[in-house]
Amino acid sequence: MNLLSKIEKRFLPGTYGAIALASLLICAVSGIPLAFPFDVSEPFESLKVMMLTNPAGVFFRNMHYWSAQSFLVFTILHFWDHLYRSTEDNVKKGIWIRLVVSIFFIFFVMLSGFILKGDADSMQARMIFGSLLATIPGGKWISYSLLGKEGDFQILYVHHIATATIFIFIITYEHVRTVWPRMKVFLISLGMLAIFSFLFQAPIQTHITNIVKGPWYFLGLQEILHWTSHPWIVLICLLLLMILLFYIQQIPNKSKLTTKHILAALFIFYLGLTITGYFFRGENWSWTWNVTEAYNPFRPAGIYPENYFTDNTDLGKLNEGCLLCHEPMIGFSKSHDPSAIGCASCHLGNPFTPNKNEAHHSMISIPGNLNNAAKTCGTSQCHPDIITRVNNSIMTTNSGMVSVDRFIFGESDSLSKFSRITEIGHSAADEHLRNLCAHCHLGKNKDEFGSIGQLSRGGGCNACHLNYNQPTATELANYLSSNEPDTFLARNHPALNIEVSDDHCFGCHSRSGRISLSYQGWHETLLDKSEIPDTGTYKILEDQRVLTYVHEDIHHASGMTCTDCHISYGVMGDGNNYLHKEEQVMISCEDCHFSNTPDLAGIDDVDEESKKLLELYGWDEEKISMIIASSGYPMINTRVCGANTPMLILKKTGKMLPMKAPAEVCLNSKGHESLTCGSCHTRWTPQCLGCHNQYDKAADGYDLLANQPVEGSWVEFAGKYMALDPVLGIHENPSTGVREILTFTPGMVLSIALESYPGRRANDDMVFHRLFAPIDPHTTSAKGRDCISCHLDPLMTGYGQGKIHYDMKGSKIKLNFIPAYASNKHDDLPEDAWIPFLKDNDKLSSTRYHHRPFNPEEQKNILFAGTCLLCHDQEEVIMKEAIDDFELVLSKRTPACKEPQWAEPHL
Amino acid sequence: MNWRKQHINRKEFLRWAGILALVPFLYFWYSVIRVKSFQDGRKKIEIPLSAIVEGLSFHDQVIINREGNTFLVFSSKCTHLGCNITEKQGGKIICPCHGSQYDYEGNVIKGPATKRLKRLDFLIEEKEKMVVVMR
Ligand code: FES
Repeated sequence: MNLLSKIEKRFLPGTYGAIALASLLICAVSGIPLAFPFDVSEPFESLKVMMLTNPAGVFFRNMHYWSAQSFLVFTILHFWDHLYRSTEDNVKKGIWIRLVVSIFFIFFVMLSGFILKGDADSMQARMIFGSLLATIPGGKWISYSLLGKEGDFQILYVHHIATATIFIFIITYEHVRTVWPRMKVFLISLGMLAIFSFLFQAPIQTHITNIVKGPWYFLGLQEILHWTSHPWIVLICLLLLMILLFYIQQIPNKSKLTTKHILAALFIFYLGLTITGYFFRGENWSWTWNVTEAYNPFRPAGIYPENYFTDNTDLGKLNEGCLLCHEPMIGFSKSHDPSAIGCASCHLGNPFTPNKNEAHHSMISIPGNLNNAAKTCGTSQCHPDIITRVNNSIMTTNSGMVSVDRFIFGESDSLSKFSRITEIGHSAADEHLRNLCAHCHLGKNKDEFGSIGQLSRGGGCNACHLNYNQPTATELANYLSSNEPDTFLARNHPALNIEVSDDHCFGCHSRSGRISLSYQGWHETLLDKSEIPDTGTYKILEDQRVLTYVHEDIHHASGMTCTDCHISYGVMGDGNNYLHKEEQVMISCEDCHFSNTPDLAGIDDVDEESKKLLELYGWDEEKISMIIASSGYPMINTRVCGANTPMLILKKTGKMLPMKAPAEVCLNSKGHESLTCGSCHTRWTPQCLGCHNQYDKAADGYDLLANQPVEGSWVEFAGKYMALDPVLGIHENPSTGVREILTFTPGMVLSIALESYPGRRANDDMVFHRLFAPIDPHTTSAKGRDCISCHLDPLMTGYGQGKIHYDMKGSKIKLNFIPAYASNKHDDLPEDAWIPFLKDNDKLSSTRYHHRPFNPEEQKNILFAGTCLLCHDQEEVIMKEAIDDFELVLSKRTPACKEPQWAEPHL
Repeated sequence: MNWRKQHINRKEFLRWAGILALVPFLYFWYSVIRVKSFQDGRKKIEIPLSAIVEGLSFHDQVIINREGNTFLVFSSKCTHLGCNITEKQGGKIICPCHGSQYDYEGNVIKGPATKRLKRLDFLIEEKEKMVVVMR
């Protein structure tokens, strides 16, 4: 006896055919009650309402679905069994033909049921079925006849409940001479299907994904269709298969067996394809190893009548079950209100069930993390482009940080190799990043509820857009301290909006370059909170760092926040991958402080994102004229109106600030053309000295990327933190040829004990670098640096703190530099120096290519002008004239003016 | 058939009735479908300019590639078997049904589709700030 017969005899209440018949009957009968709530004009909507208000309806729908699957499976088994036992010859030829034809009807009635649920998969299946039919001659007509007009379900519904069903019943009757199964078979099948229907939900797609799957029995076909550009070939193959089945009775016995073997092999092959399609096809037709929850074949049904809505007016416009418990929920911005987008479009889960567990199953409690953003904030109806941009933003990739770190560890030969923080491994450099840096990127998940604060890192969209008001924060605190959080029903929701405050940026940007601190005037110290002196202004951050007040940026003092300058394209990126953060900045000082009228744009001339922002800020009046920044993007908070002073509107308060033009001295000064605004107006820069990095095998470390504790960690020892005048240096842009003077800081004057890392490579030893980093510390002052602060200051020139000694005794001035710090043993330069006095630094000396300290010629020019200031007060007319035209003033020198002597510098 | 027989039997009646009904039924069906295909003629889709972002955007049955004020408008119907495409990935428009890939100009990069996405006629209504697409 073959396996199928054995199963049939031992485990089943009747033959395969009998169970198929019982299932058919149950399917037909369970379909009748569904006709009442089902609405052909709105199939999906009507099913949604039924699923939330009518537990018996859900049960009948499940019953209808599972009995149909059972009918299909047992019919196939019955067919197989017939062929296996060669009993097909017992069926009369005419009936056999009709039975073969009924295969089409069976699949049609199943497929039409799949389409009639009206979800996204159904709509795609309908298109595919229609297009497949249209590939045969006259197919358009057949397609119309079977499916009806696009978007209209009436004809299909009639065929589903009448044409195909009647045909199947007639054929069945002809075949078995009854439509009544045996009582035992019927009752056992009914019982089994009832249990199944109570436990497992008939599939329906609850939210939008970019996965499209047809009904399970057509997934093999979907795979086959992927291989062929000529779908009609598939139809012909199916037709040939039908013809083969039809003639199988007449094939001579010997070839019949071979034919059946071929059919069996094809069937098993198809089964393999079906499994592949079901389990391994993911988004956008890519391979996947995770079965998406939406395609879990056994989603719990959770039918408990007490949970259901009694009135569908309570369901809200979007008919989501979530509101059964979570209504009212307040606190949203207009665009994110549940009345506009529901709950499930962000939180997923199952909105079509009133059962809590099932509704919350596979729900995302914190949407907006970049690992779920494509399914939540970034779906095609919402913000798909922004997600792509954010994924490429420097705040997500951290490219510069990774590539410079790998370079200084000797693991990369380039400072500028595009890298992603999420793709780092476990080399010494990568582990260094994991231990010390890898949580400040947008891809870091926000795993806990709560507002964005000083200790927050990453969080995808939430990092900038999440805002808690007081009631929401209080409610969250109550929830977190509740003894029964499971029964706690939130009523307040944090808002997701464009109110991006400086606090959002603070967590990450108060580290490394520490712009968030400096901008507010604060400087980090190495003090412990117990060591805070009595004098001076200090404050303690939540992470216990102690800050001292130096001086705030003028823009901060006037109320400006980060996003007043840093526009959306600069922060979220414009889609391009940038190597270093300054490349993604879309704004410059001159965009606001201009002397010539900049490019202007009206509301109709700007991109859609800017338009949307204008609308959200309430600035979408017809007649406004805003500045187009040098990056090409509009600055939506600028207003230029004729001869009036151009104004900047603060996004947070609406206050208007005049945008002042640069002073005359900034524009017309011969010899100072290369100075950038920052090189004069930067008031101070945070600097640190004596940084040493060592791997401590015994330390309790933390892998910030994997978010887990690890044994052993890189440890950073800082020597000294200081708030000093910035060092100046040069940037030569090789593509434009522009040479400009920028502010620098001793960003990487450090030693790394590479040999301390357990996974070290051969020859790894102590490495030392003296790399200065270009920085805009955001400590702008209205008044620029004076002459002395540059021309007589060794720190600015790059020699480090100390004193330049001028020996005036001879006919020429002899210059000598006395450093404040001892020489570093690694390169014999004073600890804080960038260059030796009047010499070149012949090594790579900056964390960026094309950035360098002043060369000896430039140093001489600076110091030369400085020697004038030894005798002449910087306020003297002659010195003012020197700013305008130094060469002219030089030509007027008297014999009393001494020149510096460069030949023998004394070191 | 025996013409001289006085009574037609049930089987014969059904056969004749069937044959005779076939002609008007086919004609009826032809008419139904013909009218339906009129109704399915070209459709006008209006998309507000503000909803069309720079680069690629997906709308109801339409994909638009916008560069400033230059628009490329395609049908979002995959030319393989008509699936509605609503997503892009990695610089490509990918059909989720069987994996056809198109570039942002609608050309096929990878099958099974062989034909480019259908370009649609459109006009820009400056005053109403709309793009009107004929589908
Ligand atoms: S329908 Fe798009 S690939 Fe088949």
